[in-house]
Amino acid sequence: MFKKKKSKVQIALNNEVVRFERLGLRYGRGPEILSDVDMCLNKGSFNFLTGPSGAGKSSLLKLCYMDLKQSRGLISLFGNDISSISQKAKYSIKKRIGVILQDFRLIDHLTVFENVALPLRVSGEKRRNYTKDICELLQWVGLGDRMDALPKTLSGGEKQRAAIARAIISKPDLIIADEPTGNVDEVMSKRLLKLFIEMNRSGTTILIATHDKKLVKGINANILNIENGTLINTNFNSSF
Amino acid sequence: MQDKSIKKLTSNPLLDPNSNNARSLVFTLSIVAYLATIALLFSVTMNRMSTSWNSALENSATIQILVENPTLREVQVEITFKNLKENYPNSEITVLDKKKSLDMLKPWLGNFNLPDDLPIPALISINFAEEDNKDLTYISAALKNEGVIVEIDDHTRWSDQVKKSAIALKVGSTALLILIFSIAIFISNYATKSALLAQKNIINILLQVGAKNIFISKLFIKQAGIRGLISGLYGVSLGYFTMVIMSTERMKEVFIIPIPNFYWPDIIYLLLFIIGFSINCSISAGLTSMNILSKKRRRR
Repeated sequence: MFKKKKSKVQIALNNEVVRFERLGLRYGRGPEILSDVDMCLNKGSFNFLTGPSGAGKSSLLKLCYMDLKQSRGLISLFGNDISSISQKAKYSIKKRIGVILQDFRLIDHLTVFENVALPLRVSGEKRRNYTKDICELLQWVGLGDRMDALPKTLSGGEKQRAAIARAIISKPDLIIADEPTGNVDEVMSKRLLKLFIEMNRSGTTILIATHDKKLVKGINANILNIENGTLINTNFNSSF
Repeated sequence: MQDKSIKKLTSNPLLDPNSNNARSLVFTLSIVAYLATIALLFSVTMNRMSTSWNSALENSATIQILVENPTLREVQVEITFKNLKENYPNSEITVLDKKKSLDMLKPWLGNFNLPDDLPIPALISINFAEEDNKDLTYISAALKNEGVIVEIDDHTRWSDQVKKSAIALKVGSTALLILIFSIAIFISNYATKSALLAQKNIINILLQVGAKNIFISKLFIKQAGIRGLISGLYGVSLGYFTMVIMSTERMKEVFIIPIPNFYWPDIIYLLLFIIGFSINCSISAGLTSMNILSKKRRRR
């Protein structure tokens, strides 16, 4: 009788940034590729999502940044059940998430500077307010001299760094990265990891999907292992 | 120095201006704009022509004196002319000479060399002044009393026919204009859909970095508006020159149907048309993109 009014964004009273409960995902009428996933990422935590190729890592990440809709179960982001919030609230949540994907997703006709500025440009920021920040960040990720280059002239590693810079420029509360070190050498890999650690120290929650065992071993983090669409164990890496 | 180069680069539009279908789309829209311009100008000039014809016909009349005897005819022409002058002092009354009378018969008899002894009626034309009464029934009766039998043609018959023809042409050209505008809307819709498909990756990236549907739609609205403006300018310029060429005296001789005159103030119509065409493309692109993006959101 009464139309359900969609709620606005809530301020998470607890520390949960991401919460999945009995989550299931299937594409069309196919089999479930994720089933009964229970997961909780606390504020300021550093998390690795590991598992073999095709285990469902990327799909799980997509659910985290609302690129996919779950078939069943609950997804709560920053204390908001995303199935019951308005589109406007979803936009606000999305702005709090920085995403780095395997395929970089850079816009080909825009320069590195413009690609990195994208989240700020989209949110209506004035260029003069962010030019300095972007220049500094690009210097930091080693792209200071490639600001005016187009993505097609960049190497895989440079593209990856540009994608990372874009994800962190708006200082998100949660960073989701899918194989962020997949296209860079070991030195750059460590440098990028250091960047993630720095971000984490300042309170940003990090979720990195990877199958790079070296990367996982080198850091004090939660490890979420996924196999055949099921999160089979969650443990704390104490090797750091 | 560095800031200067950034300033230059950050002006790039978010949607790729050189996407695959841009040129072909502008070309197609230009053709649509061209056809619409022709239809619009045809409609405007038809309206103008019908008004001018009606006004000319309603304010004039022709009086025929059907007497074969030249001496008698001359007398009767004189009586008629005198009567007309007395009753319509401000109007322009002209006795047509034989050549002009023959010219008036040409549309019925053809463009042949007519024999000199062909009996043709004496013709007197009246162009009524505003101050004079246009009623011709009194003059007919007055001339009859003086023994002059005349046939008065007040052009009512022609005026009605011209009005009907002009209305038919106006309706036809307006319908054509609406049809062409509908085509422009469909083309713009189709172009937006194909642009959304072609720029799917960019849209996904924009959605990923938190762009709202309205933000993305605005990009398409702007792009379609600019394309509409460029196409409108091309099409209208071409249409304008076509109409200018067609309204020259030489072209009027070539075409069977009369080509309406085209005046420079019509440029105002054309400028309004370009703006309208651009707005039409923008609205259509905006609605299409919002619709597609909303559906996309619902699926997520």
